Amino acid sequence: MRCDEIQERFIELLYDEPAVVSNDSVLKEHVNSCASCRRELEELRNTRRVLRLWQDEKPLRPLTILRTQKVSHHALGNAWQLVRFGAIAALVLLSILALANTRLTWNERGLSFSTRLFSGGNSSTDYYTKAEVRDILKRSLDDSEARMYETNSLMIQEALEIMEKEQYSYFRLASAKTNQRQNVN
Amino acid sequence: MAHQEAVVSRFLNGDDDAFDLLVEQWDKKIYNLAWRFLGNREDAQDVVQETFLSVYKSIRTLREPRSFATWLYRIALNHCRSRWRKQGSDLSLDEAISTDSRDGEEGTRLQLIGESKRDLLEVVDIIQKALMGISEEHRTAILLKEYMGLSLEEVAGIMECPLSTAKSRLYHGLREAQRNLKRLGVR
Repeated sequence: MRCDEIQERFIELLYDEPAVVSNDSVLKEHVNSCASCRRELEELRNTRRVLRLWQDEKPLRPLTILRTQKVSHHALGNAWQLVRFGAIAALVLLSILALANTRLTWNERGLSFSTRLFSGGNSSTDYYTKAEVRDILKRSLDDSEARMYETNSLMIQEALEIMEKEQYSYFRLASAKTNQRQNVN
Repeated sequence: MAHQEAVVSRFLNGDDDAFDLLVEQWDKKIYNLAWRFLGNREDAQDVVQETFLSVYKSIRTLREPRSFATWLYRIALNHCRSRWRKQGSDLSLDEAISTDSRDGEEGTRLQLIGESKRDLLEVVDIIQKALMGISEEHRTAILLKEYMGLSLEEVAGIMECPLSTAKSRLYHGLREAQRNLKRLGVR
C-alpha cells in the first residue's frame, strides 16, 4: 500500500473505538517500517493534544429570554386556539339561529329577537281556516252591499227632495202669474 | 442516559418543567459547540437561545426520545451553519495569521502551552483561529469527536453520512488543523 492510502486510515490508529480500531497488521507494519508515516501519525496525535487544550467554559448567561419567548409562544398558541374555538362557536350559533328561523328586528324601541326553535311548529291560531276565510269574505261582501244600498237610498232621497223643491217653486211661480192676470182683468 | 430519555419523554408528554431540566443538561454543551464553531461567545449564546427555542417549538417532530441528542446536535449545527454563512465566515486564516504575527518568533508558542493561564488563553486563541480556517464539514467532525466526546458512529449519525465519510472528514480536518497550527507557530 502507498503512504497516502495508509495515512487515510490513520483514524483507525488514532482512536480507540471498537467501530474504527484497526486489527489490520498491514497498516501497523507499514507505520512501524515507514518513518514518514510514523512522523505523520505522531504529528496528528500532537495536534489532537493541542486541540484539547481548548477547554469548555460556562455560557455567558442563563437562558432568561427563552422563558419569555416560551411564554409568548404559549400565549400565541392560546390566542390562536381561542380564535379557532371562537370561530367554531360562532359557526355553530349561526347554524342554530338559521335552523330556528330567528327574526332580528331593529327599530326605535331597540333590538328585538324572536325565534321559533322550541315553539313546536306553527300554531293553528296563526292561520285562518277555509270556513273562517269564507265567513270573512261573506261579511265583507255583505258589508259592502249594505253600504252600497245605503249610499243609493241617500242619493235617491236627495234627488227626490230636489225635485220636490223645484216642483214647489214652479207651482208658486204659476199661481203668482195667475193672480197677476186676474188683477189686470 | 436513561435519565435523559426519561426527561425527554416527560417533555414530549407536555411537562414544561422537563424542558427546563433539558436546558440545564444541555446548554453548556451546545454553547461550547457553537463557540468553537463560530469563534464568538455572543454568537454562541444566540445559537443556544435559537436552538432551545427550536427544540421547544418542534419537540413533537421527535419520534424517539433516545434520538434526542442527535436531533439536538443537528438543530444546533444548523443554527451555527446559517449564522456562519450569514456573517460570511469573515476571518480567513491568512488574516488571522497577519493579525496574530505580532510575536514574530515561530516555535515560541509551543513552549507556552500549558505553562500559565495567560499563555493558555493565547493558545486557545490560536486553536480557535486554526479551526476557523477549516471547512465547515471537517470542523464539525473535529468538534463532535474531539470536544463533544462522541463516537465516530454518533458523529456519522449527526452529520447524516456513512461511517467511512465521517472518518475521512475527521482525518482531513485534523490534517488541516495541523497545517494551520504550524502556520500559526505551534509545532
